Amino acid sequence: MNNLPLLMRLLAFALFFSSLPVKSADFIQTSTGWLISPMHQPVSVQAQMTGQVDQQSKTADLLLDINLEGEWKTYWRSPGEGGVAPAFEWQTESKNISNINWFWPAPKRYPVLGVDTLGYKHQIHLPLTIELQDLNQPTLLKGRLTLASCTTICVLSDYDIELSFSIADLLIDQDVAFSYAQAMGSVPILIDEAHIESGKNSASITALQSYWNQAKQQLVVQVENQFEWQKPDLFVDLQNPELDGIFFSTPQISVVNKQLTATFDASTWGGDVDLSDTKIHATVIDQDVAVELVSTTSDKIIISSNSEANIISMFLIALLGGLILNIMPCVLPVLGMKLSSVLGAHGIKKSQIRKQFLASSLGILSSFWLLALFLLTLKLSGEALGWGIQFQNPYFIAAMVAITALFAANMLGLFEIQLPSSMQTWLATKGDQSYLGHFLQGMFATLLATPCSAPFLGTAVAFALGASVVELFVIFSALGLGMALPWLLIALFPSIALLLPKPGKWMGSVKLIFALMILATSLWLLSLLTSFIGIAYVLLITALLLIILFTLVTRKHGKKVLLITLASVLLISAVGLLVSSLTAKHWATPLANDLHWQPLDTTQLKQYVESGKTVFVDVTADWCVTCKANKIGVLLQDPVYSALQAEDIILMKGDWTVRSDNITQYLQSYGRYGVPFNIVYGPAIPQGIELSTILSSDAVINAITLSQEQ
Amino acid sequence: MSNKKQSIKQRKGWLGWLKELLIFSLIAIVISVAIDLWRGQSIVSGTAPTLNAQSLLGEQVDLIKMSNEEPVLVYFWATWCGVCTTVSPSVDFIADHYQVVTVALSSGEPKRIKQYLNAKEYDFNVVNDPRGEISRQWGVSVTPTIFIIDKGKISSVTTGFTSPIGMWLRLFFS
Repeated sequence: MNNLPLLMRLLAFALFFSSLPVKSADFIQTSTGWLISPMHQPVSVQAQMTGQVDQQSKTADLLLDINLEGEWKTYWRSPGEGGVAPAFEWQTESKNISNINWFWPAPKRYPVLGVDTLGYKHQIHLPLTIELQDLNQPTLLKGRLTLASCTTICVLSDYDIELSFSIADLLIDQDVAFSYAQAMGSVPILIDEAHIESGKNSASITALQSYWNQAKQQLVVQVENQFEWQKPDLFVDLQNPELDGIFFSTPQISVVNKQLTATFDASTWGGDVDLSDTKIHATVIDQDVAVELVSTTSDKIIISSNSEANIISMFLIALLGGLILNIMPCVLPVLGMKLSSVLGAHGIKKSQIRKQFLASSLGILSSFWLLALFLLTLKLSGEALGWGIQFQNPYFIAAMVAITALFAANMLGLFEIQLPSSMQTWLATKGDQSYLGHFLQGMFATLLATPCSAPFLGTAVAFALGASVVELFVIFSALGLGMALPWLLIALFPSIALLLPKPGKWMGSVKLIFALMILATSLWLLSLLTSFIGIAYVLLITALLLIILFTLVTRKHGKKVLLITLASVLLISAVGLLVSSLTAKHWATPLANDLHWQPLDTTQLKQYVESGKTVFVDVTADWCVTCKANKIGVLLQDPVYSALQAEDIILMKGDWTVRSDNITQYLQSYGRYGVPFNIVYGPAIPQGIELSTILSSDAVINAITLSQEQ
Repeated sequence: MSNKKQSIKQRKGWLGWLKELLIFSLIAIVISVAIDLWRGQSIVSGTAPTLNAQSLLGEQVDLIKMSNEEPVLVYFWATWCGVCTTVSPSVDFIADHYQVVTVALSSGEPKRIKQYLNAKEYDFNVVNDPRGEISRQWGVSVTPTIFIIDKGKISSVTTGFTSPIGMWLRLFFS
């Protein structure tokens, strides 16, 4: 009973207000019906009130339907250079309206002469809200809608819109309200940076940043999603009348994992653009994403990985890289042994040689495919990835040291590998059908090749790692094919093998040379262990290994052979020294290795660049032969050497010899998966100039000058 | 024998292609004329409306007077008209050799159009028509539209893409 007075009061309150004189409109018109311009039949327009009113924001909903026949298109709010947005001139004649808000569904791209215009075809439903001055006053919406529509011609047509209503008279039209809700549903959700940072957005966007590059007149937008991107597209506009007339190109979009980076060229019809510290609207559309992200451009550099390298050139590089592997000290002996085995077995049929070499080629190819599969698994598991990472693993190196040492010992005739010989007898009983042994030989060759692969395969493999699954397999097939080329050549023309001189004493010497080559590889691998176990242990192991080998040689073949071995080692090194000293003039002798390198630190790097310094970054590794060549051939040579010693140049070194996730990340942010990687940052180009894998002094000097230009 | 047959076959094919080509061009001509006619329904014909205005560069343009000396090409275009970018370079080229007047339809203030012309490196004569008044007077709602005016008369009208040869032919035959 206590409630009654309250109810009464409410009722009285309601009565009081409802009895206030609410002015009714002179006539009620809530839909224009379909309007057609007599000049332009294919386009019709209709504006309808849904009847829905938001009392709080004092807005009423209006649905604008546009119907375009056939190929006719009309434009988005920011259609680009070759278009004009629909315009509604309502301000002069309307009454009781303070503003009209337009909501735009995501547009599509329509190229005209290579330039995209953004717009719509067929049926379009644009939801609008009308902001009213006074909810109790009659409202008149009167004005002219100007709509451009284009096919192979462009037509500008006008539609006179006139609606009249008062809020009290509005009835909700279910059909229109439904269409309105549907249209609203296709409008990208507006989200700003604050929403994303607080994690309070209904969409799955987790990070957003934008970067304005004044020098290149480029806008870079980077968006991260919780889910994988499918086929994303981005549209940028400024929605700022003062910045009217700035156009953005079709973006270059790159997706790395869940991160989307889009680069737009900005242009105007007159001069340069300055979009630093400017609010931009990036409309991002994907299968399950439709958002309009508001971001303020910063000068924080966003680097988009450029995958400009094309698959065909990479295929050729990979083929060449694979071919070169054959003359590497780790692989040459395998091919050599294979050839000598052919020679050893006299009276062997050509068809047999053919099949044997084919089997080995297949072995090489399969092992490259296995490698690709292994790398793919790593990639999919999100492991830090790069070519050469095997050298960051001491166990791998140790295993390879052991394998190469054993192989060298085998070639020196210290022991016969029992398994293959027993297998060979087994294979012999099997007859010609089985070529498993030769297949395995091919795989062994690839295994031995891995230590030598880093310097030559880096570029191709790095590309493959950043590419799609198919491309990865294509590149690795090319590598395998390249390495198998000499083997395939012999398979095609077995007579080549038979052209070699008859087996004799010379084979012993060749075997010795091969053995020493393998031994050298083994010792090089051993030296790589320095960064894991220290120089003392490495020296100890080296000494032990050599003593064991030489003792075994003495035991097996007597002192004479040992002397021959030692003598040939001495002879080879002497000849090597002689040749190098005779040709010293043409050699690149490093000036002095006294450049002051700081460890790579991206925060410090940025500070240096901001304070006007130029930073030269060298990401390198001890096991990377190309890195060493760059260092001796370019960095420690004038003019680069002197340039790097200048006051305002800071040198930073990223050491990738052992595993470093930071450096792997740094590499990947530039789309690189291997070393060497050199880049120059300077006040003029704070985002850095990437240098090619193999350096040249001109390129380095150019990059340094460019980065310092103001 | 077989050679002869083949050559006959080939000749037949060749003739066939020619026939095909003729038919296609005939269809194309008929269609384009029909479209021109349809599009031109509202476009004025006969005597050309007067066009006496100041160009963007400040020159006084008197179309009728100009057309009394030599035929004039009048080109209606817009900065927002994507297709016009295919036609404008041709008009710009023709403008070096013939009298050309262009009308920029609802393309904004003079400064904006000057910037556009600068950026695209067009140097044809432009009369600005920001509110579409001139275009309405001429009955033009479609861009690109090209008129050839000769001695105060409209000798031809076309809309959509036109090749420089087409423009030249129209000027020549007027």
